[in-house]
Amino acid sequence: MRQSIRALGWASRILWIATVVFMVTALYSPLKLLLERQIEIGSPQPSFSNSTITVSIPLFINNTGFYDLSNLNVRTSVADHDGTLISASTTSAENIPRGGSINETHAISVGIGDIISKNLTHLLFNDSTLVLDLSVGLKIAHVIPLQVSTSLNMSWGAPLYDPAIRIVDSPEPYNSTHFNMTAELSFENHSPFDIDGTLSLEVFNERDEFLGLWGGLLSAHSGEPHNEQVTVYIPSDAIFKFSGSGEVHAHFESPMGSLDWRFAYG
Amino acid sequence: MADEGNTHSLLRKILPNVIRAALKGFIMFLLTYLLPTLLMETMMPLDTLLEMPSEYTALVFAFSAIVVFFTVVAELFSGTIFQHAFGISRALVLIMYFIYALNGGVITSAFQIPEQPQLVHIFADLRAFLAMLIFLNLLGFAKSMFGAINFLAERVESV
Repeated sequence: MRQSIRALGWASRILWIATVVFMVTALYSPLKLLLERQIEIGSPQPSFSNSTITVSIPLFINNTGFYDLSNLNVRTSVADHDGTLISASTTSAENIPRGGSINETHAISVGIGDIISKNLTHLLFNDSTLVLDLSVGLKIAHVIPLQVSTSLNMSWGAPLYDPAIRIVDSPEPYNSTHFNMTAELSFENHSPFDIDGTLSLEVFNERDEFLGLWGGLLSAHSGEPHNEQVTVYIPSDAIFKFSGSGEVHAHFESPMGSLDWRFAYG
Repeated sequence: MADEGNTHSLLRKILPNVIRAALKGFIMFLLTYLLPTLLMETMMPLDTLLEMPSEYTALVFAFSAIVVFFTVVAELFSGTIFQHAFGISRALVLIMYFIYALNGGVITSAFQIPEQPQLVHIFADLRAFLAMLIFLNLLGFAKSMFGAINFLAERVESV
């Protein structure tokens, strides 16, 4: 009996020491990475392709801790101020062994098609605040799951803020078949990217009867107001329908995607 | 005269236990409070440590107090059945303490990044740790239980 009690005592002591050492080193391990700045998050790089705006964030982790880091998961979700999800993305790494490192890029993609299909076109015309939820999860020493999360508010600048068309000159005869009318198209590009594409405008009167159209290239620089004089050609037989007010149907085509919207004039 | 003799023999019996209890209590205080505090001070920058919530500091102090108290009383009563009874109590109290301190194994905390408006939430699943700590205390519980049984058996044999 005495021998068993003594054995239990020693086993207990050894296990206590092992557990305490493991606990201290396992909890200190991720802290060490933070203190030694072995976790680096690079500056976001925006890019556009196939109707998608992609923000890439380089992520570098050098595991100088005492244990492997596994099941690394970086999750981001972007939602508008009403909570409608715009984009969600995940980047994961199976294992970062002790002494090893990873160099990943976390990409947050927002498709123009998504914005339109999710009825978020107000983001194209109105400045807003987007909510970015960021969560990083990992397992320390394959045993301790740890998750860090935060929520950031980002201001969103609308690329086509406050679009308006103002008639500068009333329709005047252009040739035997058409009248021309000069109008000024204006909006402000509050977004961080330039807008390049083709724009076509179809002008309708108050009774939604077609009057004329204009088409041309559109180039609006980031952070600048855009004013453009456009000449709309109205067939002679439709000039009597012109009443000075109505609606403009706009169609914009760019490498980022295409967009249709309507706004009133007059 | 006889009283004086009794007091002397009692002191001679108790004094080594008291000295041993004081020494072990001090070593335990060093190991469970001073050493972790010193380690934390050297491993973490001071400003991080100062921002450590006071509840965690209180929990470290409570752990140290429990360990020191049971070490001292077990040593004072060594050679009696109370030594084993305190061993059993210590294991049970520590199990309850760990469940409380580790919040059942799931720890959530939130703090603000200096000069930033947003809150950072931390979630740690320490159930594996908690299981290990409970297992260790159950081992201590079993040891004290066997100790008590052995003590009683030896007493019966000697009578």
